[in-house]
Amino acid sequence: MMKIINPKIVLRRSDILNKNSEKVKGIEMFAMLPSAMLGVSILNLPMTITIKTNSPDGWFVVLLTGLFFLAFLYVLNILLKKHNVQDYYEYLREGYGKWFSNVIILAVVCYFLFITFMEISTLSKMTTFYLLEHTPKVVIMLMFILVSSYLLTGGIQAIAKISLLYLPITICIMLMVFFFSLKVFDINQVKPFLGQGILPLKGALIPASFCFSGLELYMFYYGSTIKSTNTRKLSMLGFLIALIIYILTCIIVIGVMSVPGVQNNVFPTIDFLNSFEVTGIFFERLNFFFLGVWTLQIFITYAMFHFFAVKGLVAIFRNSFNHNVLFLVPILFLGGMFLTNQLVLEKLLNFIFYMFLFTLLVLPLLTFFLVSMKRRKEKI
Amino acid sequence: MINCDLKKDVHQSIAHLKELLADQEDVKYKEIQIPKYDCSCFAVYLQERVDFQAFSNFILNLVSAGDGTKDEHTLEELIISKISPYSEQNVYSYSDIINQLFMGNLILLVNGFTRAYVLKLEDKKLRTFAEPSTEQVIRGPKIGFIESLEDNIGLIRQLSNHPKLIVKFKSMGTIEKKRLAILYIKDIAKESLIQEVNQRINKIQTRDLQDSGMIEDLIQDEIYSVFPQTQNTERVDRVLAELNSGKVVLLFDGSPFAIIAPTSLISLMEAADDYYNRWISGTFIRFLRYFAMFMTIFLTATYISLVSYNPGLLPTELAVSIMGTRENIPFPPIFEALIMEITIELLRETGIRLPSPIGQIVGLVGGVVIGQAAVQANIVSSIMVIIVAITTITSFTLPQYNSVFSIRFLRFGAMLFASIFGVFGITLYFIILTIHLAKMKSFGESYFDPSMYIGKKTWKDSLIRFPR
Repeated sequence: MMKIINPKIVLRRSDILNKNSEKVKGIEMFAMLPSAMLGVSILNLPMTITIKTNSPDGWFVVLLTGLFFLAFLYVLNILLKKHNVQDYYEYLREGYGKWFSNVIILAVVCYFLFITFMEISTLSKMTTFYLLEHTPKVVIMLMFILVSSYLLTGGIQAIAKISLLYLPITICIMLMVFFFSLKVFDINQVKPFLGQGILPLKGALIPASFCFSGLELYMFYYGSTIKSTNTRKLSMLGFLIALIIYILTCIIVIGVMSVPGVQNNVFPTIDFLNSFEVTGIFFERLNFFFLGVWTLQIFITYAMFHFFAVKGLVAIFRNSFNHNVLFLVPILFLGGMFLTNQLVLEKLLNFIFYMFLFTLLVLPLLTFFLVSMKRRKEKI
Repeated sequence: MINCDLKKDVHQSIAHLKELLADQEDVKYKEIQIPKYDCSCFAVYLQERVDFQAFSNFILNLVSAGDGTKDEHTLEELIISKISPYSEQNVYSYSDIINQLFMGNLILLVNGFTRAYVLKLEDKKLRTFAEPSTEQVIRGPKIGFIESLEDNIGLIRQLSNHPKLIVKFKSMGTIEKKRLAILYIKDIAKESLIQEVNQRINKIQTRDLQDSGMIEDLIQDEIYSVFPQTQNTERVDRVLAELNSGKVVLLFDGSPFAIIAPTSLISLMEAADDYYNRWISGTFIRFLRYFAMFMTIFLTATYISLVSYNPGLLPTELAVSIMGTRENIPFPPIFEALIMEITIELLRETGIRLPSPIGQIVGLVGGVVIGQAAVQANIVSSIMVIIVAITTITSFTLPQYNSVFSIRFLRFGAMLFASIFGVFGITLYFIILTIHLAKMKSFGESYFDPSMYIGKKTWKDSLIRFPR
């Protein structure tokens, strides 16, 4: 007897599962897109990008890469719609066959896990630096992992609701922070525009495109959205929100802190809040709001990567979702501990970046090509 | 011998019944003679449950039966015609007689008949309809439910003449039977919801139920949640509004509180008279309620975290003045906060339990004396007293009493997190709370759904109340 699972049967089973599992509303999907992107990268984006450019033009690079990814998102929507992708992991399975798809899914899961390690280690750094000086990082990470595991048991719908709830709060606080910072904003710090020409900016492409990590998750929850929604329009709008926030952050932080000021700072986006005071309300500095809100935002980014990592493990091992959540707790914990070491993080950063490019750019195109070949063959 | 049938001879039956009910001293047996037919009847009833006026009228009517008429009726025809205004059903066995007797009905046994007639001559002991005491409104209907199921249903039927309003009865309890009414409007309420409610009610297996609150406890989704998952109300207008929005209402015999299922955070934040006042002020009040809920949970916690971990985040002058008030306080902020918060909780509880004149005195003693004295004795700081007072006031602005309790309880968790993890702890607590809300379901519907606040059709009646 052959014990190979017929891919058609697997697909049918996944269809049934999808019907029963909960769907995400269009507006929730719209909120999930920027929520997945706006994570830790906003805290150090002005620094990482300005170190490379050595000029205040970092925002321009972000704009260019952002427009590129926006165009790519458009293509991605077309690809996903054409193949009517329900569950991306099953789609991968269809494209690569059983064994090779397992390898690819495992690679994707590893990439997701690396991102989660980065998110929690940066979060614990930020928290111990600004809020809790004497609390061990271990405790902060553990709390975060446990809370996220609690969220994951609620499925994609709980994540969608949470991200829709947090996004308006984040935007409001961001706008408030930017508004109050205008009085110390110096337009001359951002000038001259392209003073050194466009070529020296190419070094900043890596950090500028890496801040859009999270976009690749769109492929994975695309299938969970309710059918009738206009996914293309909503997803592109959601992406624009993240893009605008990134560009504003780069311009305003550099405009307030100047290029050398930003370069010598680990978390310029938080420290720039110290450069001005707000009078007349209960809080003189907006760190309180900003740190609180950014903890929320890092949490939701982290939780989404965590969720799809678990989903990937479920796709490989075909076992219970909750078991995989439990299984990941110690791994996340150790990984987060490992990446708190700045040297290790820097060494891994390039690797993670290429993984990001592979998952976002290469994987969907390659899979689309393979699956359309296979489907055409089946038809004949 | 309780299950055997009645005898033809009424005297034998009564003797047997007396034997069965030997301990019950308030059961009365009254013999009635119908002279024209030379027939003796027995009325068996509970002394204090029968409307005596109606009963004596009935007897006079029965005794004088057939006096002036010429045509001959049989005894059976005569009795049926005389009892028809009161008649409920006929019973044939002693056990049924006893059941009906303790339900407050009068049993009529007639000589020569092997059946007993059950007559509804009940004297209901009720208070009159009054203004609901838990949900008061300035403008709007001022009538609330009372403890009688029939009257409550009558009230709803009177105020709503919707032809598709369905009332279904279920009998609850094993020995002591009480009735539960399930109300919904057909075609508006979802079929799946009605099925779900029915299923949950059928699962209930308890001996005694005193109030609808106990049913609420038995049909909810999440046992380990502080949030109320069904809504209760004394207001008829509220019940009608919820019925029209497709919800199911449960009324229980002996309880003036109707249960509304399913519920959501949005409807817990609504008061009945939001809709009766101008929409701008109504919207403003709703905003204030959400703000008040937020303040209730997080204000004390924020104070604790700022004072114990990050005083630098406050404006310098404020930080200095807060530190000044805390200078002589020997306790850490969490302990100081717990002292005050628990005192307030105790005061609130005594205020409810004590008779109202004493309750007010307790409030005065607690609020003025303890607050003032505790500050002067350097046990708590004056800012702490202000903060606790603010959270107490904000918590009571919530329109539903059961949600007030939950929200007030949640404060303690926030305080604990704030004292351990500071601002990060508060954020973490906020995350946990929102996750919990996002995961919760009430009868299959989401309990908390942020998309309702900005959804295409629903935004008009969620955070703001837009005119229709």
